[in-house]
Amino acid sequence: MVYMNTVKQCSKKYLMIFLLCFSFNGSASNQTQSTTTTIDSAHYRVSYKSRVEPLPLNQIHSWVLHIDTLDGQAVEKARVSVYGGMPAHKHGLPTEPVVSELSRGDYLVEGLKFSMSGDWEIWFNIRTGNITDKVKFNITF
Amino acid sequence: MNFKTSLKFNKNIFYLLLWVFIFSLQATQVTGWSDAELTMLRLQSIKNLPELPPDPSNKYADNADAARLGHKLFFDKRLSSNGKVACVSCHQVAKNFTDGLAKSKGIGETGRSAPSIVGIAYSPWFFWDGRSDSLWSQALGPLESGVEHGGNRSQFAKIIYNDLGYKKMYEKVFGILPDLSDIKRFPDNAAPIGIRKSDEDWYAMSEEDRKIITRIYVNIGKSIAAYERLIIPGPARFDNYVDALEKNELARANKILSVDEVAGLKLFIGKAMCVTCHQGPLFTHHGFHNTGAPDPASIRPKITIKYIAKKNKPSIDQGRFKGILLALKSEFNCLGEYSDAAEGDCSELKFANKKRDETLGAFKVPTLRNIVETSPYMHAGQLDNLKEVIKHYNTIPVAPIGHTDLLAVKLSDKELKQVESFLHSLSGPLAVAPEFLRTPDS
Repeated sequence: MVYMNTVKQCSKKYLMIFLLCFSFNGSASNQTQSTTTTIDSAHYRVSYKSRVEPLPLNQIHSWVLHIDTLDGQAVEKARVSVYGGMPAHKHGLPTEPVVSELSRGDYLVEGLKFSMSGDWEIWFNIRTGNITDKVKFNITF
Repeated sequence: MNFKTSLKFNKNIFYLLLWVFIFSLQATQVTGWSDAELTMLRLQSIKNLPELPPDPSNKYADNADAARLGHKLFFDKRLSSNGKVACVSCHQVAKNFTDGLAKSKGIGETGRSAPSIVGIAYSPWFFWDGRSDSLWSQALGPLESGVEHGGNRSQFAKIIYNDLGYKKMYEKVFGILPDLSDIKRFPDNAAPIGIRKSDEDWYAMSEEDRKIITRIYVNIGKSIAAYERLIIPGPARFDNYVDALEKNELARANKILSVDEVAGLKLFIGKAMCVTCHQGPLFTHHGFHNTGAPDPASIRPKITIKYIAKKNKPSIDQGRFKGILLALKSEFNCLGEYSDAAEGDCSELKFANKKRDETLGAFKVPTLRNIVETSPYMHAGQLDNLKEVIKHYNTIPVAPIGHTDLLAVKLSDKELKQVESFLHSLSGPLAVAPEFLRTPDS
């Protein structure tokens, strides 16, 4: 029994040393961009789902944006506009996407395109009645 | 299993795992590339070049007979007002389909440099300012430009009609040619090109007859586009290097690129950020950017410029800002009656960015394949050599119009030379059937 415990301890020791070594191997993992993200603003809970997966680089595609109130009610008849770009490069989106309402809090965002690798911001301006709010999604390729 | 055996067994496993770790570490050190970098290199390799994207606006885009007709038309100098200018005049095969001039010369001098057409069929936009959204509509532009071919669509239609060889080839692809023999119905030189006589003759024609001529003219463009789709780049030393790395043939890889070229490649995909825009196997993302290229007038001022009154001074090229407006109103765009595309196929045009602040002074990012063979550089040949180009990107000058999209990279002189060295590794033979690189048989 003592022998077996010692063996187990040795195994653990070697395994830890190996894992420690491997953790220093510096392999950079490829960041995969999620095609579904949810974010809260002051008034809304907003999520998007890309109709093309994985999120494509340099290809025009669409998202379905879903907008709820913070207590989970679908937001309908909102006026939604989209803008964004790459702040580091001081330029906006390469396209002019268009937003139209589908139903039950869903909105179709057509004409999105991420033309180059790097950090992008996509902002949605959402207005219902007197409430105007905006949410930002960070996209990295 | 006693304690000693177990300990030995575990030690063996440990040494085996350690060997795997050290080997993988050594592999990274020997190749000099991390996994992430190797992934990026694979994405840039010509092996990653996808099939040609379809062109829904041109149903003849991949028709072999249309390409053969387009090949002949591309080389035919009769498609000009003086019989001396063909597409190939400015897109010379020996110069990677460019002409070596800062501003191309046809009937007169153009305002820009002729871009290469190698791999151009992968782009959604054409011309430096993207004023065409298809390859066929691009081909039509120079034909009626007063400083390029200087011809007109009625003239071109009659060349097809009167040349029995052309007529046969045309009808095989597009069907029976209408009878154009009635000179009163179909004048020899008529087109809406801003030349008084041509315009008068054009608008004296019935709308139906104007459409007959325009349809033939469009089919000329679609044939030339079918030919140009065949002009594809082949593997360069860079691609062979990546291939060797993928096969873990490090000795072979190190013979393909020099130490400086490898260092330049590392900068290209890293610190220098070139790959941000020159990404993918064609080394372009086909987008538009204002890179603050100098105003051509400030580079090579003509002697007469200083005598021109200020109000008549040539304005600075607005690039994409004007280009997209021209594309939107073109009768030959994706949504026009001569396009074969459905509305849903025209997303690039429908959602194109028209914002002045983001398009002013922006020009298309060119491919870097065979870039060494296509001097001078930038949209009007403002910079004579690659050394000047790389220096330009390193210094980020103030844009003469709009604002630059460039970021500071601050490369040393040694690093600038290394990036330049790497660009030489992007030259390779074209992956084109030899007969399409020669003057076609008459």
